[in-house]
Parts: sequence; structure tokens; C-alpha cells
Amino acid sequence: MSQADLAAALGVSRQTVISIESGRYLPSLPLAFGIARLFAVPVEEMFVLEEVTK
Amino acid sequence: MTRNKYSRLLTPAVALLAGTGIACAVGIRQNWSAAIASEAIALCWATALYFWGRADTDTGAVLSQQEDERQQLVGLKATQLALAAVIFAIVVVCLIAAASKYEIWPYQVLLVIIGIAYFVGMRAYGVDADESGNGAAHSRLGFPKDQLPD
Repeated sequence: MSQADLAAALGVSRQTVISIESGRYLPSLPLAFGIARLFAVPVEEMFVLEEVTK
Repeated sequence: MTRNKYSRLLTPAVALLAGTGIACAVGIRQNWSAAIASEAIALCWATALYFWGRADTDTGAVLSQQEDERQQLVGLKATQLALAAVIFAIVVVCLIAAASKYEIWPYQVLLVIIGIAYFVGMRAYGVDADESGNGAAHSRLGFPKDQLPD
């Protein structure tokens, strides 16, 4: 599946898919669940929360 | 993401409308050759906005009103930066006008409008907008009531 195909399936731009892949953008919950649903995996398998230092 | 086929015309149309208004004011109060020049600049700017809006970029998506959630955030940050630049410019121009003994009330009016718009925005988009505490009811996700903690 190309980035353009994934973007079309999720209803977002190709640039947003690239940003999520490269870790520069954290998707919203609805988008994260949409990605997980598309790949038929639990959302916690798609996204790993790293330690956030404040 | 895609709203409708005319949405990309909105930003150029607003720019052209504003530019035409300014050109008319220039024509009425000054001269019509300056007004034509002003209108030509507005037309060029609107055309540039239209072609920027057609580009497959973040800027294009924002200008054509077809942005997704990340591009909305990018657009908001860009707007925030632009507003900070405008406020800084107004303050500088206000200082120069005051030092040159020109009227400063138009600049003060602009700053007051920006301030009022800020608080209206906070009121409209902040938590205060829904004092009933039923914010989750508007969520697209929503949780079944039987799964909520007591």
C-alpha cells in the first residue's frame, strides 16, 4: 500500500501520513483508531507511547 | 478532507473582494489610476492564492479549505505567528505615529479589536463553552456508559 493509498483510505493528506510515519506528528485518537482498524491490529500495536519528559 | 469543488475559490475570492474594496476607497478618495494599480495587485494576489491552493502541499490544503487535522494545526500555528507579527507591526507603527505627532487612535482600535476577538475566541472555543460538563457527548469517539469508571 502506498502512502497516497493509505492517505486516501484514512481521509488525510499524503503529507500527514509521511509526518506520522516519521514521528513528527501524533495523530488524533479517531485517526489512530482508523489506522489500527485499517491494518486490523489493536491501536496499542500501532503506536507506542514513549516517556514524555516535562 | 475534501469539502466541495468550490472551497478552493473561497480564499482567493475573499482576498479579491477585500482588495477591490480597498481599490474602490483609493479611487474615491485619491485617484482612479492608483485604484487600478491597487486592483491589479489584488488580482495578482488572488490569482497567486488560487494557484497556491491547487498545490499538493500543506499550504495548498490550508488555502483551499481542504486541510486535514495536522494541516489545521499547521494553519493555526502559521496564523498565530502572523498575528504576532501584525501586533508587533501595529505597536511599532503606533510608536512611530505618536513620535511624529500623528493620530494613533486607528492603531489603538486595531489592537482593541484583536484583544476582543481573542477573548471571544477563548469564550467560544474554550471549556467555558460547555459548562454542563457533557463535553464527551460531542466526542466522535464516545465511551459506552457501562465502561466508564464510577
